[in-house]
Amino acid sequence: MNLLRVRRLAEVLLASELRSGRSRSDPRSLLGRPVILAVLDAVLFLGVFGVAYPLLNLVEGTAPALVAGLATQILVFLPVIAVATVLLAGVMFEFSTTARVGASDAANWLPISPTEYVAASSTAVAFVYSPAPALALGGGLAIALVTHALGVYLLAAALTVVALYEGAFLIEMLRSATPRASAVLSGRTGKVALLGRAVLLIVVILAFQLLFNPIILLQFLGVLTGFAAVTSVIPLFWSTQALLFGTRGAWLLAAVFVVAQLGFVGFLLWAAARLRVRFWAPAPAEVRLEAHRYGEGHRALSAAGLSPAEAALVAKDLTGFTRRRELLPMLVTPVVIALLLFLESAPIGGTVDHLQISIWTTWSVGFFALMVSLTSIGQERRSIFGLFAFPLTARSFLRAKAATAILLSGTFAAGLTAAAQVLYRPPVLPAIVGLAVALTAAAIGTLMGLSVATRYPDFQERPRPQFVRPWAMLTGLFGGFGLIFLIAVPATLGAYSSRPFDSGALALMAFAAAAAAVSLALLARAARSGAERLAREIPA
Amino acid sequence: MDVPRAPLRSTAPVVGPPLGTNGTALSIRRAVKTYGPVLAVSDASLDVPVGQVVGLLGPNGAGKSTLMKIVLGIVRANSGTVHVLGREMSPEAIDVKAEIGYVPEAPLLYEFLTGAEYLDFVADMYGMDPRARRERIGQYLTALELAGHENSMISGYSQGMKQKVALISALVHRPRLLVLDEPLNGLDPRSARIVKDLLRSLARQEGVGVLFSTHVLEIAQAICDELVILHHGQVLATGSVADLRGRAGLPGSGLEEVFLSLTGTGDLGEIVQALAR
Repeated sequence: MNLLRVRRLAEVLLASELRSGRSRSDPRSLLGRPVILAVLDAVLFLGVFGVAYPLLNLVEGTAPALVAGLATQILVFLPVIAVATVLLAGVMFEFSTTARVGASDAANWLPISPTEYVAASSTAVAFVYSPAPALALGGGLAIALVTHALGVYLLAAALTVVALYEGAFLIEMLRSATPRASAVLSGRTGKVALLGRAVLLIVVILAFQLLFNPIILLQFLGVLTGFAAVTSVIPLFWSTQALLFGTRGAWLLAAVFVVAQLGFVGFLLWAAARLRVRFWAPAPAEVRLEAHRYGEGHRALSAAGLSPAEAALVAKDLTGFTRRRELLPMLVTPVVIALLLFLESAPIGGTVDHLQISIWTTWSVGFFALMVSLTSIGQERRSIFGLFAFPLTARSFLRAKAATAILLSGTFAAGLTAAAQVLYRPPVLPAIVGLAVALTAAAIGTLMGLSVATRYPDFQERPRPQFVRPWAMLTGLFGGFGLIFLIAVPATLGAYSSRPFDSGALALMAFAAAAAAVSLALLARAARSGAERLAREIPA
Repeated sequence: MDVPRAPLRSTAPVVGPPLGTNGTALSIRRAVKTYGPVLAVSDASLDVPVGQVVGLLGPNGAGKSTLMKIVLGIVRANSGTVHVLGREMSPEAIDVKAEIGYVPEAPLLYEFLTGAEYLDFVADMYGMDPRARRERIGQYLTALELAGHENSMISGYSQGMKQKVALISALVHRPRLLVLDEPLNGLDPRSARIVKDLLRSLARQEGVGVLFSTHVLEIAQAICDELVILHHGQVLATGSVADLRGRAGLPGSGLEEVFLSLTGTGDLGEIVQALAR
């Protein structure tokens, strides 16, 4: 393996990701260079340490047992958290490439071996998601200094770096496995085959998330076999086991698990490289469908009040969700998150917290609506120029994009509510309020997402593209979460009040309704002006 | 190729008076466009008369594509005016856009749709009635030898097939102004010939104005009534091939010599020699 080649390719892949926004397109800008991530890591690490250390010193004086407990509860799980972060974020963001770009055509003709490509690509992924572990390691150092567990901390830090690569290698394997899964049905024709391909890909991504998600594994397997058995047998937890032995001073056993962990990560690199060899450059499959009938229209969408052009746009976008590989993770991620939150609110063998389930259902729906709408403009890619060359008004464009996001997130809201009803049987009145709040969250998520996406879209197609500029995505997500909680928390508290019709509960629900009405009106206005701005001049 | 002129069922909102022409399909006056410090189009003016094919020539980066996007209202000029069929063009001029057909430099297609689905989508955008779209799309598919491939996904098409789909989507609603950015890119000789003949026929018989950019000077010479040479965003020269020869002081020369002389890139011998060494 030529390390210089690996480093250069990793730098290019990182630069591609960092320069996604126009303001960062100046290659001389610090913000457009990979070193910015190291700076960010350092700032986050020192920032968290600077806050946590004095705070923990203060707490240690009054509750030493609590602080001592943190050493075992947080330090030992740092590497596993890093893997989970890379996997969750990786599936969400690393698959927003078309099959053509995802197949790395730009690099395939260069003299780079599969192992070198996997190493470079994984390094780029590990670097991109390093700020999250940097935050955790900053806090971890504070804990370690206060509890005099510096040895365990240093091991945890080293294993966290290894874990970042572990997650990144798994992402690389998924990158190769999804085209393979998609090729399974390539010889078949028809819309059913296409839908089957989408379902198969969703199953692959979902299975991957579930198999390697530590929270899910601990929840399911921990109940069956116990924590110690799970962490000893499953490679994902070998780093945890090493750190547990470290906290007990059993360094020899810790070393055994460290070696085992390194061996496993080495195996993942080998497996990822082998998968890449097999699916180096998948040939585009010719997919033939049944004869198209022109001018049949989209009756259901037209009946909902959409014009023919708007209905055609919605139908086109919905079709994209079943045929575009890069959009499938968007359908899977909220399901995984909802599953995690359901498990958190109703642990296996534990008590069901209906209120928590209701709030998380609303949040998951809002998150889904935000994801769909935030990415809905950028996913037009360069076709946006062609689209606005058609006689299409900004208003129609916005209505169509909003209809797509509300249709998808509204269906998700209904599905989640039904699932919660079947699994946990919440009381009827709060369940009805919960559904109404979830649908409101769908509308708020949609309009918030469109307000941001129309202003800061990213239409470029690169090896690591986003559909919206990254900082705008974060602003939209967190702004949306804030509004959704502002409405969901009082509404749900009111609905689950022991006396839902007394003045306190009604006041909470009235506040939520008023907040929803004002938010929707303001966001609708912001989305409209954003669409008009986009139609006036599409960002280059 | 005989393509019937069926009426459109317009669902686009009419935002201005009926479109006229005054004999000019397109008129650009003193258009300026900058991208930050880069001057893409500089004080450019040109006309496309009704029933004429006007060729837009210029080296790479001359500003041809930007000028075309300004015409379509998808890029806003810093200053200057664009009139299409007698009406000022703006992003909101939806009824004007309904009369334009556009082929971009690289086909801007939704590759996850089949050719047929994409063309149906385009017809929906123009509010065409189902019968007219069925007939016209079928005729174009047959003429450009795409029939039989229309139910395959565009992602599996060759470059030439994608270009044909882009061409059909520009022509299917029978526009009165065609803005074509390198429309013959990737086409096989037969299809290129059909498109060239069709453009001439649409201009002569239907009165369509055509603004046509190309790097292939023989094509420009063969089908354009008038040529506009753009360099560094500025219009260097306008006129027929004979006019341009006169302007360059190269009577009897080919268009290539005239073009290289006007754009100041005529002495290429030394460059070639240096590269060969």
